Amino acid sequence: MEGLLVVRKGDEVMSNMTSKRAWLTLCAVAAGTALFASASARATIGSDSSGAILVFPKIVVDTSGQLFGFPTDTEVQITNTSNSVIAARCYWVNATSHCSNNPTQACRPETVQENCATGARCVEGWTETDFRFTLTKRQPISFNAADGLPTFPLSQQQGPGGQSNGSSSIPPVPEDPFIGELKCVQVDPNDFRPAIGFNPANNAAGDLAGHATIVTALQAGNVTEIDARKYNAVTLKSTTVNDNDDTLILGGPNAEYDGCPNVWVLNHFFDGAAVDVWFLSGQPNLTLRFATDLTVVPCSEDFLLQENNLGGAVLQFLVFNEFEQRFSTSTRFTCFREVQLSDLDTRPGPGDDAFSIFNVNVQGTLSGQTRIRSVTSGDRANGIIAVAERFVTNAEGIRPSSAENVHFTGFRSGLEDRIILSPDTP
Amino acid sequence: MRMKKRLWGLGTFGLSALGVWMLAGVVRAQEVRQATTDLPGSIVIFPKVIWNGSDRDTIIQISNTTNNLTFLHCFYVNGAPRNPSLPPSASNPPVWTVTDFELILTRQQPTMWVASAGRRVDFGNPFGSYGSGYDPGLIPPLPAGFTGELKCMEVDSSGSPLPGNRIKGEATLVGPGGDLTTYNALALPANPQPPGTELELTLTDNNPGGEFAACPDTIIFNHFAHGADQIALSSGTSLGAQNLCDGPGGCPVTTELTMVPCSQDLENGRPGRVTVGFLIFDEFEARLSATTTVDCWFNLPLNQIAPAGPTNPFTPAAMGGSTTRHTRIRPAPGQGGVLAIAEEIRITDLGRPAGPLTTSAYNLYVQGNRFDGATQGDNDTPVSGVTDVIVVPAE
Repeated sequence: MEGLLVVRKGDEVMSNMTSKRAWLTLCAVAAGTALFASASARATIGSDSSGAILVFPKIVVDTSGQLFGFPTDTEVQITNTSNSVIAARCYWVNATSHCSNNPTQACRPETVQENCATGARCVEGWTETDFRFTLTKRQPISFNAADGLPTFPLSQQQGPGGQSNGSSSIPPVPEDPFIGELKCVQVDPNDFRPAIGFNPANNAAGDLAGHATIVTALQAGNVTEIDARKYNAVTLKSTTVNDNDDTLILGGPNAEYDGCPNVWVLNHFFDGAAVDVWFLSGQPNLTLRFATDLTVVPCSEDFLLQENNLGGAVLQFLVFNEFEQRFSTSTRFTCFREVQLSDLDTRPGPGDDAFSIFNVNVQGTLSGQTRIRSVTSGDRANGIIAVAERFVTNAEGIRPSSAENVHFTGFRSGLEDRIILSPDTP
Repeated sequence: MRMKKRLWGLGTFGLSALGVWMLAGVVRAQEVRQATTDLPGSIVIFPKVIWNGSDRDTIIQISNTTNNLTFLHCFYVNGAPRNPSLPPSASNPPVWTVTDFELILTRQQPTMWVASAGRRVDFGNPFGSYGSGYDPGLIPPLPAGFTGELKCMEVDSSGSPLPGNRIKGEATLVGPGGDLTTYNALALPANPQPPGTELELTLTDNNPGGEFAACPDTIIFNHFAHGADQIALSSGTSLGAQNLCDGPGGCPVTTELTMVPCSQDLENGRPGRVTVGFLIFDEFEARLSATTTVDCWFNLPLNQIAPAGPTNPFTPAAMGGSTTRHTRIRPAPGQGGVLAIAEEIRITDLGRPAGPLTTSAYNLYVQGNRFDGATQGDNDTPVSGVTDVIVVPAE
């Protein structure tokens, strides 16, 4: 039976064709290429499909609990979703702040008075530690950020298909306490240059998938419990056009990867909202008091100069409550921002949270929708990537939590972000 | 009259157009041709909604992401077994009862309710209290023992489906001690160019044009082996000093998988039924497989998907003690799709009868769609597409 010639990367030709149909198909290829180019710039990032750049916006390590109050570590899962060997170059981005009068002392803006001596400031940090690894066909790996993964499962042996992880190794995060991000870029396993994805089932858009789980040992009095919150890594997909150099172009007319979204849409409870649950005979049996943390990282980063010369932007927040009432505020961030919503428009710490537009005492309804938009500058999109966390306070004074990926909408036409990689060193 | 909503179908394109699509539409396919947890859609599905009558409840949040007034038609589908004291099985099938209600959301309006309480239309709710805000409509409270899904679809003022791609949602499960876990509702975006008035017609599979994105072909499910020790808690240089793994039961992590079929006949009360296969890879590239059937609503710990014993592929023992898994979930060839979420349960057994636990739900990655990217086997070879159908009761 004659059929249509359909060729996908990695597949064999599925059938024969006549010369006439070959001509038609070539026309289709040409038209397809044109459409592809236009479609590429419109591709969206995601947290539910694999990609060529993997971003974990929030990684926390504080094994002694000195900075975040409770001992905390982050478990990371990374998977090769393709049936080929792939490789990745990754970066721990250390955004831990330190006291201006004691550079070895980590601090947080909310607790600078406790962490640093009187009069000191909390100075933002931004340094990267890079590493690289190889994953065999369909291989998943998992590790905790405090320990890294010094030896890969198939470093000392080969898998059933004769593939191995070679000299792959993941170092622990560079300091403890640590807060920052993890970013991985899919590269060619032969020369470790940035590459498009291998698997046609992933549309050659990239084969990396991942999750992060922030695990905390909570303590209240004599009670020690654990809390875990999990989110999916955000993936940026390859447009399948890549010049393999170390400057990665996200979005815009020359896009090699997805552009970052135009607007992030966060559904949340207003800070301080008391939500009753477990209703029996119309009466609630538990009340939860919510707070929401937002973490944002820039899409543009310069790992070559290790300077914050690309990222950062003004973030505009449009807040809607359940009365359809609209509020707005804005804040500036540079390389990494992790903040409770109420602290976006008030001073760090709980002192004046009740005056925030993100607080239930101002809004009057329990839930809200916030649209987050970063302001563009010149020729740069200033895109961001975000995750959110919910915290509640229970009767024991413990703060259970959950994490979630944030929805988004739209793209930035004509504007690009750039990630400049540091030189690859085996 | 009944209405069928066919999940994304390409329709009758010419050969060259098909070639264009096959070669050029792949990137765009990521946007609109499969279920998503990142973007708003016209149908949102919460696969796991629970109110057990004591200490497990669900908070639902839905919002209108546009400036247009939005009408929603929602369905609670109860997947609890007929005999709640026995585990679900072929002889103890789900009750599969459907309760529907309607909502109206003003521009950009968020709304929320607690499953056990529902939400009344009451303009007297005090400032900052439960129910404060524009009530979107009367939302019934769920009976104790409800375990199932919530599905909401965008409609117009007459109740006919509307392809606006305006809604998104989140579900927060609240457990003992206020344990908290949140997942994003799965959204099915509508076809951006619906074929005229077809949305109001009874569609058949050979009608040109589909209405909504198709369900995923392959669900990529990354998880830990069932019962493996938690990495951070068992590491001496991490959280091991907290001694949370010292009890006789250690500090295992287990995972529950929840799946719902994409095809549902809500008018005639016919639940969907899909056989799904699991391909399980570990970090040593070893590979095992399993199968199960999704009948209306599926929610099981991983170790109960396959027969118990040392060969259960989800346990560490079956794969030489390995702890990390990459499981690929794929419906049987020719069958419709499923939507899924997972929930990790982390336990610290300190010698108490029931050690403290924490849960964390997460959305799963997807690959391809059942209509135009259906694949079979480990080589991602395309096979013929599948159309899922949701039948909604007439207004």
